[in-house]
Amino acid sequence: MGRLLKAELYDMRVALLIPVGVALFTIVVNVVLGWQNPEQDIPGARSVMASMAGILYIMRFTKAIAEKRDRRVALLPVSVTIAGLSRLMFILIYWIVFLILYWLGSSIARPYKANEIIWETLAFTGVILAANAYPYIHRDLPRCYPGKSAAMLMMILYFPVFIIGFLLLNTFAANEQSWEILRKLLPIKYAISGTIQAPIGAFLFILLGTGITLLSVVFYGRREVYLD
Amino acid sequence: MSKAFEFHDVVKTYPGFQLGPLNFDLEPGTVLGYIGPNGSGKTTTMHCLTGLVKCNGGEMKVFGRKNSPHHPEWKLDIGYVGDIHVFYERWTGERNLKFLSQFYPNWSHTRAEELAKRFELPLNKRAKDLSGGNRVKLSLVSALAHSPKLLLLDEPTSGLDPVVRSEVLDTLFEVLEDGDRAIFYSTHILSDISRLADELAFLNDGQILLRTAKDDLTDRWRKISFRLAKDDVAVESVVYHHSDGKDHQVISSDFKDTLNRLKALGAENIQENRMTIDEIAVQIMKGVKNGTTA
Repeated sequence: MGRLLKAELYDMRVALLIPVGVALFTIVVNVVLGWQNPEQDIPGARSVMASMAGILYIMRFTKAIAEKRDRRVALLPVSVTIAGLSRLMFILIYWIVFLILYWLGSSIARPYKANEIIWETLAFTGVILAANAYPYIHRDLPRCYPGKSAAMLMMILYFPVFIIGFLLLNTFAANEQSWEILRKLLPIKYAISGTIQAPIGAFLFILLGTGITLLSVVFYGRREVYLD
Repeated sequence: MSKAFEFHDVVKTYPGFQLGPLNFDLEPGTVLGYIGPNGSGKTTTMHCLTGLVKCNGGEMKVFGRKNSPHHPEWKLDIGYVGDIHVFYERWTGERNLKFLSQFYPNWSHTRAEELAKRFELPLNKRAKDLSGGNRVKLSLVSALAHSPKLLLLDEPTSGLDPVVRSEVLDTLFEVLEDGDRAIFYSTHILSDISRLADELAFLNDGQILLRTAKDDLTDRWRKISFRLAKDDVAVESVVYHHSDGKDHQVISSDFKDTLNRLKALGAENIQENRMTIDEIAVQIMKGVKNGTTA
């Protein structure tokens, strides 16, 4: 897996510069300024990290499709499990590195909600795991099962996405003011925030994210074709 | 010693098309030309063997090992060049080869360099900047640098203009003639492989019609002309018959048998002519269309 990951990082080295630079800049500036408004700055920095992960993800995903990366990897003497996992590792490596920087950087703002931030960030990591795996599942399912079976499975699998989306709106908003209108429209406000900022929420989200990640590896292995 | 590959009841179905059931194998060191028209299932066979496509049934082995996607060691013995050539497009040819070298313990950088020189391949160019011919050459170098015991070539020169195609094939055959490896070469142009092949398998509509040693094929097939008063020449080995009065022309898939039968029927002025392998291939495929096989 290391060889495939190293190749991806090398291939994306130029594309990495801007997103990594922006995420790094956000943390460094907040550290230098001493997290003046931790209530907004700490989740804000995390949102910037996540947005940059999203940009990186789209760049890598579209490039892999354009260059028929699955076909390339399928011809190598590498097992489908390793191949399925390695394509998920690119964003995970980015996220783990920035998670460490984020925790170290935000430690100077403590004891401001120290525990809550840890649990909330772990829960957020679960969301990243799921978001990382979902597009691959979406791509792999029609290559695993014919016609309606794939569509049905996809509907079942997308149900947690709506739940996660709802939780994201309620919990992980970078700037509470900016979400005011949406919050008014949603019937439940802050109801889940308490859970997310507790060990149980973090555990559940990590479990969900890991489950979806593993599911994407399983679906990759069950594909009927690796031509694209 | 294990076969280079074995197909046991391999079936792959697509809407409106079924490949197989295929049952055939390849001895190590043998060159098998896999001949068939477009859409006959040649590429699907290759895709099944390389694991790019999963079959609906049957089993395949490469040097005695099942071609399992979970235990990919069998891929170490294979070099594959398909009709599509995939690389890290922004990397140079050299970088692409270096990447591949990490996966093959037998990879030889010296051999890769030698092959690139022989193919006149500019390794310092990015893959995306390479011409069609050079992309084929890079694929060939990638497939050959780890000295695979089984080389799978699936119309590697398709899409190239005739001049580049001929140049690539000439160099490829020079390279292949040096080695002692099993080669499975699929093409719809028989002349591409007739120089190299020991055996030929003819595929049509997902079924292998005929598999035979190349020399056996050219030894047995003949164009025969003769004079005979009868219109009807009912001889099993005759695959084509044309008559103009008493003058007849037939194509036989077993000329000794046909000659004996014709003599027994009282044919006169019998003349037999050898056929080229391309002519034979055309007749085999035509025979299928007309409902008769060789």
